[in-house]
Amino acid sequence: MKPPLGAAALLFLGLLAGPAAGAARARDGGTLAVGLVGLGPPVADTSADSPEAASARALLALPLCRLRPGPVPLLASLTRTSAGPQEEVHLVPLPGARFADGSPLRAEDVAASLRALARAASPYLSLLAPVADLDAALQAEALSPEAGLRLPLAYAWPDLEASLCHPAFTPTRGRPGGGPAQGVGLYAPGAEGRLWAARGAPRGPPFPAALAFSPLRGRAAAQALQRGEVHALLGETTGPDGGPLLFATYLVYRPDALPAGARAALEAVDVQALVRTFVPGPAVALHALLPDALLPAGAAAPAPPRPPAAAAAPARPFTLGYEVGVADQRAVAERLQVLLHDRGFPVRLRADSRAALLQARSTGALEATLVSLLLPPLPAPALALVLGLAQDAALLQRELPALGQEGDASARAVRAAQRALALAAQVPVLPLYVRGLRAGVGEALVDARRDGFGLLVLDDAWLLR
Amino acid sequence: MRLRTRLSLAFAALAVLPLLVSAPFVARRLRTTFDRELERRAESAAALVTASAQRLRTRVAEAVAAAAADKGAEELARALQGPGPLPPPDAARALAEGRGLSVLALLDASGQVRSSAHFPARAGDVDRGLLAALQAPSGVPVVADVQVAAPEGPRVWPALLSCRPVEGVPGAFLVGGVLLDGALAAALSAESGAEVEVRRGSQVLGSAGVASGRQLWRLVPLGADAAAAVAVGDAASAEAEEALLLALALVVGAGLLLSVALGVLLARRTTRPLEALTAGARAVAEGKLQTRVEGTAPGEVGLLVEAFNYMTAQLSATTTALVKAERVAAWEEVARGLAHELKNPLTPLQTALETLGAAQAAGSPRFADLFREAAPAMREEVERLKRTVDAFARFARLPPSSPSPVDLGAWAEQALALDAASPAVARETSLAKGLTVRADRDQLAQVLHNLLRNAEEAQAGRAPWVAVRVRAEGPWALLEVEDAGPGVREEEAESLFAPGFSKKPGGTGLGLAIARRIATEHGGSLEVVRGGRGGAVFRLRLPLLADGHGPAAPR
Repeated sequence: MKPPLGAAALLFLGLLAGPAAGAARARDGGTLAVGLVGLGPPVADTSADSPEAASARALLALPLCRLRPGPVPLLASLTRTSAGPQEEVHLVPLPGARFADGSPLRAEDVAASLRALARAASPYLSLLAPVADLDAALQAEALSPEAGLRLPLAYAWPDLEASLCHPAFTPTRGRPGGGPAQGVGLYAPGAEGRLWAARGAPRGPPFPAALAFSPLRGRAAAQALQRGEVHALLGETTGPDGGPLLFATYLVYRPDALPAGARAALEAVDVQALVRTFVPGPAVALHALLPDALLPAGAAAPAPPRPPAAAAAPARPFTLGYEVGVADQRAVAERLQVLLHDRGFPVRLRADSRAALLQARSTGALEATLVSLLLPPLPAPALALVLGLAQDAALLQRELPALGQEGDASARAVRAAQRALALAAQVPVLPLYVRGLRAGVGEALVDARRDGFGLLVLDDAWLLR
Repeated sequence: MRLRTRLSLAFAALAVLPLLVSAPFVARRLRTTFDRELERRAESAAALVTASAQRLRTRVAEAVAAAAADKGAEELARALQGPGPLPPPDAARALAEGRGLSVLALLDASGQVRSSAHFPARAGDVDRGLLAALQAPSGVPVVADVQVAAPEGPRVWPALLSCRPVEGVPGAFLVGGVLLDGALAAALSAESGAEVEVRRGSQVLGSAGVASGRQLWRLVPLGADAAAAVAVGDAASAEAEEALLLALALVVGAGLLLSVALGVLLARRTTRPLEALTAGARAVAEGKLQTRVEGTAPGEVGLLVEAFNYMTAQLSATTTALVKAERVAAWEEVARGLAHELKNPLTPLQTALETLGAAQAAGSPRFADLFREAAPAMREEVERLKRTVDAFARFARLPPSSPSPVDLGAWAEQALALDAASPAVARETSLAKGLTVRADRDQLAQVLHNLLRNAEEAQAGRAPWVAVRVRAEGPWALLEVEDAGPGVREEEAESLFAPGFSKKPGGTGLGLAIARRIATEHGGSLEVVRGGRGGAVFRLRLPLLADGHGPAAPR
């Protein structure tokens, strides 16, 4: 039996906090220097398609709550009420939560963000699948100052509050005059290209008064961290990585669109070798729909690679889409193209934005797509998210109520793992690999932690001087 | 065609023909020269590409050797062999950068690709092309097919490859080189200035440069079955050839113009005496017998001019003599006629006078009766003498004419209306209007009068019929008077117009002579032909005025 995920996170947090023992926090801030390796400057309005980008984004736009390991309100309180057999989760923004322009966060802002996800056909909406009539719940008429956003459950689903802590549900709002969207963050864009401490966070401004970013590469990045020129690194590092591996990538396909034998050829791919060579660490192969961290120990032992299956006859080509700008997806897509080509399956590659790929997949224009998701650290919501990739509402309706019936978290996790293993061959979703956050923290940065998703959190971080 | 034109054309032909004959030869010669130049350029370009290809082999070998000696290669190889996280599959890109290598891969001893700059997705596989380079002697470039990425999947492409072991890391090898593609073709084209196609067999792998016009190809082997096909075009030389031929054409054209101009000048100089001779001959024909051709001309033409002048001088002298003789003959004729005319009344006069004289001398009592009887006859004869003398006087001295434009048809209509013909005469008229001549109306009236009287008198004893017609014939206006008389024999047609010729008793024989003289003095003529009814047609021919009233009169 593996230790619970929360315990591992606490252990890691303790390790991070170690160097700070005995030192005093200074409220006068200082500038936290962050090296970005292969990343652009953070923006609030992004899908945060990698743990690194998601971490950077979280500086400008905080999620509704943090998993430590349970949901801890950050921007909104989450209250579950019972009205007869039906339960509701009330999401009420905290009074001190303000956007970068000083305007308060309202339930309408949260609903608007969720509605935007629905319009974009975001796979993360599967996390809210247990909500009865989500569209109605998100309407402005359904909101009230006291109850905020009311999310009625169609069936028992104990993990809804934890699901709402997912960074995908981070509320953002467009600026009235246009420009980049803003969130309720620890920091806000300011002069000198830096991020300056914001006063809109409910728990008050962070300790470092500013964040300065500098693009770095390879060994120079590690040396900069070692010499203290930067306090933290996001991106490739040579140092030890830690935290859960929850950023999972799947190959989602249309069963009727792939040529015969293509799935078998894909399943014959040596994913471990694929990940080892083509996916930057920390990363491991996915042996099941859920990563090992969310499965009971030994539940999904790596199976020996199947013998390569070749096309019986010249197969028709099919298109594999991947997200443009996501290096690991591109490397894996190109490698899959080569491997399938060698086995007689011609593959065209299409690099496009996540939104365009979602659109193409929903309209059936793409035969196969690589999809990367940040899985919740809880098996049941994670399974809901993965099953949602199949775009089969009946499947969710069939599987999730039974999972929600399990009141005990451990029992729910076991059942989720069982269903994940059982459903693996039935859904058009091929698990490929799961990655973690590549980040390095220097000795001068104290109390930088990872949240339940493995993302770097600077809520309580401070600088030694 | 006039002689001057023919001479001009002949001069032009003489000037241009040599150029035209020589033009094809010049063009052929130019073509041969430019062909040789094209071949020389092709050989030169092929030599440049050969040298470039050799330098490329050296450069590839050196670049791979330098990459293998790079510290980064050692670190990459160690990282790939170590237990830690593997570097990205494209980590070899850093080694290829700046070295001009489009192919670079790090291989282990088994030939497995561990990192690839040109095809990272092949990491973990064995590429037979790279393996061939690995198995070749170290540092010796070979041409082999390697796998490269393409939108539709992996594809095989020939490359010039060299292999070197990574320094300090046993079992690690760098294989690098350049693809035999368009980039290589572009480099070879840039160095040679020619169009270059990199080929494998008949397949064109890449091309660069443009050889315009007719192309000449040379093949430079690159290794295995790959080659660089080098082409030079003759566009520039063709342009030069075109310019030269154009210049030649311009010279021919200018020569043609010059020769035509010179030909015209020479022809004019040559033909001017001939034209003068022609004009002189025409003047002689018009009666200007003293015409001389002035100016000098060389050679035979000069002799001809002299002969002409001699001829006209002789002709003039002869004509003068003839005129004198004719004048004498005419006077004799006139005198004979006059004598004849005078003699006829004189004889009765003499007889009457002798009779009266004898009667008076004899004191005949019938003298008074005789005188009374003879006096009218003598007066008659005297009147006849007087008429004869008047007619001759009129013939000799016609009054000066005062010509003016006359619409011949309209005028004839008026004149006929005034003419008092015998009622028994049947007249037919056909008078075209608008035919204007320049004539003296009185003299014209005399001509018409004479012709009408002549026509009527020619039909004595018959029912007289006279037709008067005015019509145009070419540049002439014709006034025709036709009768139905016995007609005129051809042999006596001209004698009708001789003064004194008359077939009528009591006629002076001057009417038609006067009519012809008037016709001649008006620039026309009077002739007689046979008419449709067997009679005579007297045709007065006068030149039409060129003022819109008919055809222009001849000059």
